[in-house]
Amino acid sequence: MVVDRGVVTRLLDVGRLCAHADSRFEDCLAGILDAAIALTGADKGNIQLPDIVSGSLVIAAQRGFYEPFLNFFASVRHGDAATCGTAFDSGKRIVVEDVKESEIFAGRPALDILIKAGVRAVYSTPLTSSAGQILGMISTHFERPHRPAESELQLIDLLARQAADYLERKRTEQALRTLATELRHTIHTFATGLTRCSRDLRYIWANPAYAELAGVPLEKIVGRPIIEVMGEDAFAEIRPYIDRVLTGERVEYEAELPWRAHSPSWIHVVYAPYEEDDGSITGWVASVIDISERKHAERRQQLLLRELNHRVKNTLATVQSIAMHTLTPSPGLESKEVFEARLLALSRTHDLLAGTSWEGASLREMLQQELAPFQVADGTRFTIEGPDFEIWPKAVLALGMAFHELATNAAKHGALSTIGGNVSVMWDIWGPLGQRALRLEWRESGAPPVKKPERRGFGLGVIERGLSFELDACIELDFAPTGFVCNFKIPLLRNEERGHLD
Amino acid sequence: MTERPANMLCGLRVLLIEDDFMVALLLETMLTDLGHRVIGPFARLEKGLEMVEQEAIDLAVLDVNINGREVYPIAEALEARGVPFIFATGYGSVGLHPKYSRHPVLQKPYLREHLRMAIGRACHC
Repeated sequence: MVVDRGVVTRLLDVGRLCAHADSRFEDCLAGILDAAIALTGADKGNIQLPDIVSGSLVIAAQRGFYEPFLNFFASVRHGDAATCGTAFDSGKRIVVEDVKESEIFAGRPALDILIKAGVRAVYSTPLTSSAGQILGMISTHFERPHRPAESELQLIDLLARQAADYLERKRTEQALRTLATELRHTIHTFATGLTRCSRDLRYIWANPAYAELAGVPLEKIVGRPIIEVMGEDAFAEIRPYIDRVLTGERVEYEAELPWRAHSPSWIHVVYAPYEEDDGSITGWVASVIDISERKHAERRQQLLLRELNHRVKNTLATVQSIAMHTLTPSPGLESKEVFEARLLALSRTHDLLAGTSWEGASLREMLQQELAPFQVADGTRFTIEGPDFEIWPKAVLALGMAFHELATNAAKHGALSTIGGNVSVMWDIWGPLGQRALRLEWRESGAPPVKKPERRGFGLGVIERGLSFELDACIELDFAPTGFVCNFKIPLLRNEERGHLD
Repeated sequence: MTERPANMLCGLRVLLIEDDFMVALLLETMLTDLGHRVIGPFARLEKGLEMVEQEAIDLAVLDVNINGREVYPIAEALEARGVPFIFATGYGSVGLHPKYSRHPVLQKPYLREHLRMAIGRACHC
């Protein structure tokens, strides 16, 4: 067998060029094309690659072509009138010995373009991947009709095999690079903390979200022992879960971690074992989210429920107390009605507080609400005068009850028991800063003369004892012949005083 | 376990710590009805501590939450003097410090009978 040393050298050179890591893609394509032209004795040629988006064949390298050929054959689709297009369709090499005689071009504008470009013969060889996918097309063109010899076709096949392997390798490399970039980008942008750790308890990699959770810069995590980054206490906490994931088990848990770098935080964690092809577990991948906010919300909800229960129980005890002190048989009292009225007063006070989420209530609104049941149509029975003032919840409850008892007493024995009687309620804030007090006067007039009761009932007890007991108030009751007068002085809590002055 | 009948207990001097006037009034009436003498009620922690120092007290009824503060300093002072006490609370025994779990807890709203039994238990524990 005679071997042409020039042909062998040519093929070896192309092989080396394509195998070299530093070779540029364009240079490799040009090298392959030049070899194809030289090996077949063609006059010109081109290499086309499929466009990823359109799927058409696009010229990637060419020798000896100009406009309008380049423009006309810039993009060749399946079924187009072209040798390469037909080869693209069939997946086999197509040989056109004379374009003027070929059915492919008969009566098509492509024929004219080819003739003008000086092409009479052409053959296109598909570059096929190991899986049979067409990765490109190599075409050689001749100025005269040409029937390729079997040996010529074998040479081009050899070259095509080299070119296809090269293209397949480049494709795989590109796909891997894209995948790696995408993966890196995804992991980097993930709001969830992600990290991969090795069996020797070090971080292999971690993402910024993980670094933020740990409170340690990323560059001080990668490659370091976990215990060093987290701290001993936090590591001791997660150690049992690590032992489990290293047996190949998927582990999920919630824990409050005492990080070395910052205050403890609640985290939700999933560990997935990192299994090699041979089945060995060389580490694990962890996904970690901070759930401190959720945990705090849960704790707050529990506290609120407890507080609600407490308030309900307290209110029940208050109702129990009112019942006990109202429903005892005593002469001349419609005890059931009095009980109901007291319950309603309590309920109205709760309404007021509920409206402000138990922050407090306006004194004026409270008075208006408590006294509404005793008002007459023309609204002349009460004079309510004083600066706008917000009172704190405990005082709202105590004063609500006191105003109700004052009004009830007035309706029974005082100014509200006769037509023309009226009540004035006036208040101010009095005293030096730091010792301010709410001064309030309840003054009845236009009523029959009152006399001091021989025995203090529950109502007066609520006013006198209740206010002084709960609010440290000073209370003065004056059963004057001109009308009953009650004066309160309630020291303001420091923050209430400030709230008022603001 | 030998226990004297609780109804034998009467005439005790009972310190009452409770910040809600209506509730205090209720307990005061119940204690009086059971034949005891009430010292208080007091709504201030400091005042309560002062009373523990000064008064001869046989028993105390303590609301756990006094104007947002826990009543435990008074409980401690009472324990130091060997005075028995009962907790009265709307939170139930869950809200109570485990240290005091052996002391009777009275739940709101109160039953006279429960109060009587709690006094009996407190005085024998």
